[in-house]
Amino acid sequence: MNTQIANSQTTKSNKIIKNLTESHSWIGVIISPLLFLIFWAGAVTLFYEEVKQWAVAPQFPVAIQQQEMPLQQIVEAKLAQHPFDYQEHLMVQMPSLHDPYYKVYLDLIREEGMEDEHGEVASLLVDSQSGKTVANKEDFFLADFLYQLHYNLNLPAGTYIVGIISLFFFFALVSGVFIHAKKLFRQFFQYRTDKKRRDKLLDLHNVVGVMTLPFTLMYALSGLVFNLAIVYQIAFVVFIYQGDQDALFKDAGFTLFDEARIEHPLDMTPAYHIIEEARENPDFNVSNVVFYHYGDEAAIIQIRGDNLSYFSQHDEFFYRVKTGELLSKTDINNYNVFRKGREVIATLHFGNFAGVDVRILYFILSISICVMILVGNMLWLDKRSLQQNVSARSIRFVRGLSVGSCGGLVLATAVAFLCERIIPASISARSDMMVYAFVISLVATMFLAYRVENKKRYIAQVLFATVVVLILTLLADWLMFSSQIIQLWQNGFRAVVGVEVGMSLFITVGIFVIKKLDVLKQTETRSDTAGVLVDGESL
Amino acid sequence: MWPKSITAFFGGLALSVSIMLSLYLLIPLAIDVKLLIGLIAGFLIWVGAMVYYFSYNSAKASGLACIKLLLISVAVNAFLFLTK
Repeated sequence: MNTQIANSQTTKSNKIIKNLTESHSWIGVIISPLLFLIFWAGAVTLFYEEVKQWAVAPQFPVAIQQQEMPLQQIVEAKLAQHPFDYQEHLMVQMPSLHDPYYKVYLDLIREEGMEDEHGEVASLLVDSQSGKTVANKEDFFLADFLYQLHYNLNLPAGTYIVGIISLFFFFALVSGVFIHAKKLFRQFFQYRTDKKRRDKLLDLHNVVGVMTLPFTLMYALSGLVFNLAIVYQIAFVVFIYQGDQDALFKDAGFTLFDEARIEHPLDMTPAYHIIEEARENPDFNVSNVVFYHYGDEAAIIQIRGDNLSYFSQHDEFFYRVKTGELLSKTDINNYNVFRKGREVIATLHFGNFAGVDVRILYFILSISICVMILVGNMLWLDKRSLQQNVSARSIRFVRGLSVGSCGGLVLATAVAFLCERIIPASISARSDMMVYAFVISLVATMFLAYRVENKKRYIAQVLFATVVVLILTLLADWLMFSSQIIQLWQNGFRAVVGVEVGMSLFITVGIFVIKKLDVLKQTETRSDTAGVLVDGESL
Repeated sequence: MWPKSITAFFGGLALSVSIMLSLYLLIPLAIDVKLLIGLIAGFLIWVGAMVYYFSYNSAKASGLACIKLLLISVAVNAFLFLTK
């Protein structure tokens, strides 16, 4: 009797695991192209500031030996040059040790009849020493483009799509833990090199999955918090706050000031004294300043920055400019738990709580997850190829999608880097041209992935093209800006050379993988069912 | 698999919103703490519910399990709102 009960429980448990395995692989395959894109773009975005500096700094090197122009003079010169809407706010992002530019954001006057819509914003990149506007921030779009690709796919409803992908990724992780639970510790580092291709792939998928689990869980949860919190926000507003969204924001620690302008002019010099005082504090790194009602008696300034003495402590101060009164402050002694919790999640997500070494570690983990996603697809294809009831068309579709989208993204990113470097800064549509080049190379790679039969050879070709594009980028760097790059290095701005080192490492790894694949010289085409992306020998 | 996925997604969402509201009403902590717990717990419940619904053999069984859990949760919520 006891044996029967035990058998029945085992069968039930096996059935649950079977159902979860099916859903894990099915959902995994469906979300894999976008998940790969999110992790790939996220991995590059870990070096957002460095990529931004790589793009801009050689074009407009800052003479740091020069006397720095006062911030007030810079802001007021920009206000005189642009039709600023004084009903709106003005934001200035401060330069730092690694970034020598002010970024000034001005909400411009809206056209007649468009008063209710959000108007155009001038985003100016300003030389901190001379005060000259060197470019529009959007002209050097590569870093922002990749960042947007990471969190909203550059699509109108992309934020929610990424949120839903994060949710299914979270599901894949939790179901993966259930599926693998019995062997989680026993086979923690198991990687069988002497077994069949499927065992090797499975081991690779499991080892990467287990070792990156804390990291992936953090990413899935934080991705949900950033992209799908709207769902719970709506629920709270409707059921708890009876439609009062502002009350919810206040309880969540987001300070809102909605005072009207008085329309009496005010000299803004005291505001800059407050900012200077804040910048002189060695433990407080001012990241940006927001001016509300600039030049009016109702003017308020908001100073935001990081308290360097504590982990993930973002301080915020609001001052009334006329009286110098501190209206509100958020610091280590006065914080809102919800807002602080969200900031800690963001700090963990971006990996910016320590030096570049932590971000390199994050990068390696992100690329490992990209590999895990690809291997997951290979396992699915291997299994389905052996099943009679699966159509050849669906296998062909998934195979082409896996090779085309993943390989295409890598190549398209390299092409975007090359475009960012070689398109002259004077061309106004340079960011559009870069985006078109990215999209065209991605679509072309995906299209060809369905045309070329020998997928292993095709992967090697895509990788070879990526390596060539990156070599051209490095050559362009040194042919166009060698003296500027050397000058930047001597002045302590290491980001440009850092990005070049990253590209060189990619080229080295790319050449190694191409050699390992050993297919470029072969002429015969081959499309065995199991040789889906790469065959077992190359793993 | 599509019907099961739809049940898991929307059923998990409804259940998580419902339990999150119950937690908000039950936990005797400051509002900001409750909001943070609600947000994080909401996603954990959503994913937990998805795993539970996907573990069923069929979409029908999964849907029935979803309705049962939702009814219990909504009843608890109704009680909490009425006795607040």
